[in-house]
Amino acid sequence: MEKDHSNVIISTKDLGIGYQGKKKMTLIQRKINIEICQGDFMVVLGRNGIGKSTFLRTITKVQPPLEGAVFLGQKELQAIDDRILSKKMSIVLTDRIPDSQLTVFELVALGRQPYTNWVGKLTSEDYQKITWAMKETDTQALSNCHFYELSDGQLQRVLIARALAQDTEIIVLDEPTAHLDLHHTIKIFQLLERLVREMKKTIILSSHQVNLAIRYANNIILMTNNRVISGSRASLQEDQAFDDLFPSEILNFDRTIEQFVVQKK
Amino acid sequence: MILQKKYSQQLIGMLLLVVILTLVSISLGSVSIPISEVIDILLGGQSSKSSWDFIIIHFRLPKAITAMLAGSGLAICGLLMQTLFRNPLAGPFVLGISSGASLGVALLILGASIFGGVFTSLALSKWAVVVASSFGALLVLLAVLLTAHKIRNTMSILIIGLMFGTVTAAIISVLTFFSDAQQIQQYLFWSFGSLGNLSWNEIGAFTIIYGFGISGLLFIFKPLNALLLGENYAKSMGIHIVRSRNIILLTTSLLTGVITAFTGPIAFVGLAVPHITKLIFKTSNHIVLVPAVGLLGSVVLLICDMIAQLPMSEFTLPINAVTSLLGAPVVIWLLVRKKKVYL
Repeated sequence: MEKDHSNVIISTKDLGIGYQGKKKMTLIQRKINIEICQGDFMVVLGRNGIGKSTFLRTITKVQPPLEGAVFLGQKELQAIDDRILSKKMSIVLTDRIPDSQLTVFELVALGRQPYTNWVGKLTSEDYQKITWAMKETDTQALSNCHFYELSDGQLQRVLIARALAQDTEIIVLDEPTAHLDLHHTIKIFQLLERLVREMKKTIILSSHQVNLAIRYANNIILMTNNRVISGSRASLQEDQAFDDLFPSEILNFDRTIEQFVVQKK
Repeated sequence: MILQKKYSQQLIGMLLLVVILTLVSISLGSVSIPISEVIDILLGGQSSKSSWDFIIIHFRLPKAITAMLAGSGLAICGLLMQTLFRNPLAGPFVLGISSGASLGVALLILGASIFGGVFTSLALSKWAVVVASSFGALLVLLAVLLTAHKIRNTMSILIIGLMFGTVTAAIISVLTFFSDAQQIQQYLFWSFGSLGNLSWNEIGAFTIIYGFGISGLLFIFKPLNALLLGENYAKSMGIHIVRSRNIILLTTSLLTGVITAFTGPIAFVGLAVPHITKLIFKTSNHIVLVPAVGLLGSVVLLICDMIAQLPMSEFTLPINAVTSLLGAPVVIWLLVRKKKVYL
């Protein structure tokens, strides 16, 4: 099936990602050519250290590409002003939030910064968006809590609420289910899936929960040592791409149930 | 935000406290003047003794104004540094900015006896001290900024700041070693810190530069709040990180520089007042914090000044010693009780 290119929202051209040291450049992945379309629920899968976070940080302008380029629509990402970008793309990172006395409400309200005036005064529309974001993420009851009082699962939902309040078409999340138990992990996946389905958001996330990710996402970016490919579950399966994700002696991809299973002795 | 009303009440309360303390501080001293007379004189009326007029207009009012400006300025600088470096230990002193100011003044005053010539005539001028101090503060700040650019780890930046402080102290020791007793004494007195001795001309200049520095704050309320989530989030919310950081650092060096120049180094206020304010106001929103920290800074320095004057006596203690002696135990007590500090 030929892919429809008309609604591509993020694309990369021969992208090389990694870190620029003082003397040498550490390239983690090269020649990444992928397309992400409007309304995609895209999950990035790969082993530890394969470059998932680096990839997400590069397509969100948190760090620059080392080679090639990232495009947002037709425009090169590096050329887009941060203020304009902030109305198109919001992020949920794994960065630790410094200790402060911000309440959950204040934290979510910070997501309105691209729209507020010079002192950050909230208009009734801002309040509306904040309330909506907190309702969607089921964090209303936490409104007056300080964020350091929250559990990992609650904090993750609050951070997603902040990204939602930012009212952007694209939301990029780096391992939003890290540190979460299975119940809370599924809750996050269901929330994100609903945002894609009902709000027509484009969501890109990385996750180590491969089996859940395969089930919920409609498109997958697979990062392995040799290549970075993307496609639907079916097309990747056809390509036998899942077999390269992990060394096969421990984990295997079971085609019939479309899940990874532990290799029996 | 939603609790705006509560905060504005607290702020008004604090403003009243500043006014009251100002009046009390003007009335106290080696000659005690009744508060009612103080109010009369300040409102332009005549008091029962003309010597009181003179004391208030030429000594105590300038001193109170200096205390308010210096206290609020240093406290706000501390708040800005703590938010920028996302580290509760940051402050004008810890980052070596005050040391830089001291170094500038030391080079000027102590250098006079070593290098002679132009230095000798300059060292006697208060304005030269002001310029030297601001320049020293700016230089250290730029050095910190450069390292901050190369090193992302904020903890390292703080340690580097401490090292700058140590190096400046060492340089000052060397300069002292080669200086005349007279110059050493002049520098020593400056380093004790003093809120008095400012003429109205100097107060005017102080206020203008202070106002200039403070006005930089108008551009950074939003960035300061966004920075509470770290630089990456702030950037993703449309904040221009480099520009905001430069405004914060410039504001800090200007304020620290001018305050240190006119009053000498004053420890503790910059580091501790933001923490005390956050414990009282329980918020991290800078729209509330900046004015609150400023007001509390004034309160603290006015109180320290009253203690330094040793009411009813002829002696005045060095203000720098009083702030530390009074402040350090307060902060330790607060933290032991609270067990956690916040940005």
